[in-house]
Amino acid sequence: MPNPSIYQKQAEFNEQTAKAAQAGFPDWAVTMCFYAALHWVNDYAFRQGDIGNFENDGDVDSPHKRRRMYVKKIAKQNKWNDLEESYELLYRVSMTARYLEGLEKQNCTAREHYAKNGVQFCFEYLETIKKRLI
Amino acid sequence: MTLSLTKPRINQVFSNTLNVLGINSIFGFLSNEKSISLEIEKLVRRLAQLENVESVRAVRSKNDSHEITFQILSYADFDETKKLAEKATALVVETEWKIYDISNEEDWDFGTQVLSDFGSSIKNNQIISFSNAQSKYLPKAS
Repeated sequence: MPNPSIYQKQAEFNEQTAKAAQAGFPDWAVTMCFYAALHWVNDYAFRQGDIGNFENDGDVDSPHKRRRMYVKKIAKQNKWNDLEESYELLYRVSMTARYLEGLEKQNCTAREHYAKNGVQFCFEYLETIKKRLI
Repeated sequence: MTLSLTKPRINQVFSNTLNVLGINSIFGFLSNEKSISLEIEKLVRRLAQLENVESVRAVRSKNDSHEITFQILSYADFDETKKLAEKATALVVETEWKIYDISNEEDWDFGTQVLSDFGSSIKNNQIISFSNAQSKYLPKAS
């Protein structure tokens, strides 16, 4: 069996961090779930020989956008609609956790928001993504 | 108001293709663009029918006409919003894939956002479809 890629190792580290952060730092748990998903996408692309697609080579599209488009492409090719849905859902909640998207009017921090509502669903989205990509 | 969903570079390809294939190509191309617009409008209507939805709008990016975010206004609580986001995202992905097939282009980038406030940062010319679902709850005018 080949050695795990650096992307796989980082994905696993990020998930461990997400689990550790769940109780006291739920906003970071959400963010780290997203970054675990991102590295599972990198790992998949690495195994397929596609990782170069995400490098910042001066193209107008950011590496984030190119990775997002890659997820859409492989999801469509393999009929993995749950992969694209879970990646999109996790990306959106991470935007709330990182940039308070949708929380400004509620006068609520991301930490308060996720402490009140829980973050278990983020781990479920991450599991769906892992099932498709590992 | 009719807004084009065609990218400039596609216009270039379109012009070149027309020169080679002749005028009949216009009809296929316009028919595709119309089909895409209809699919987007249909999606907005379907999203507006979901539970706890006040209204829906399709917003295209300033830089990329194929990047469209379906913004859903909802005042539901956290759990209901989560369920709504999951249902809406599934519908958006379904339509995105349909539009890949219609247009034969893979650069469509549809996103889904559930918001409690539409905000004011979006310019009117970015909104390509709008549905005020709330009106279905209003009493009919006597």
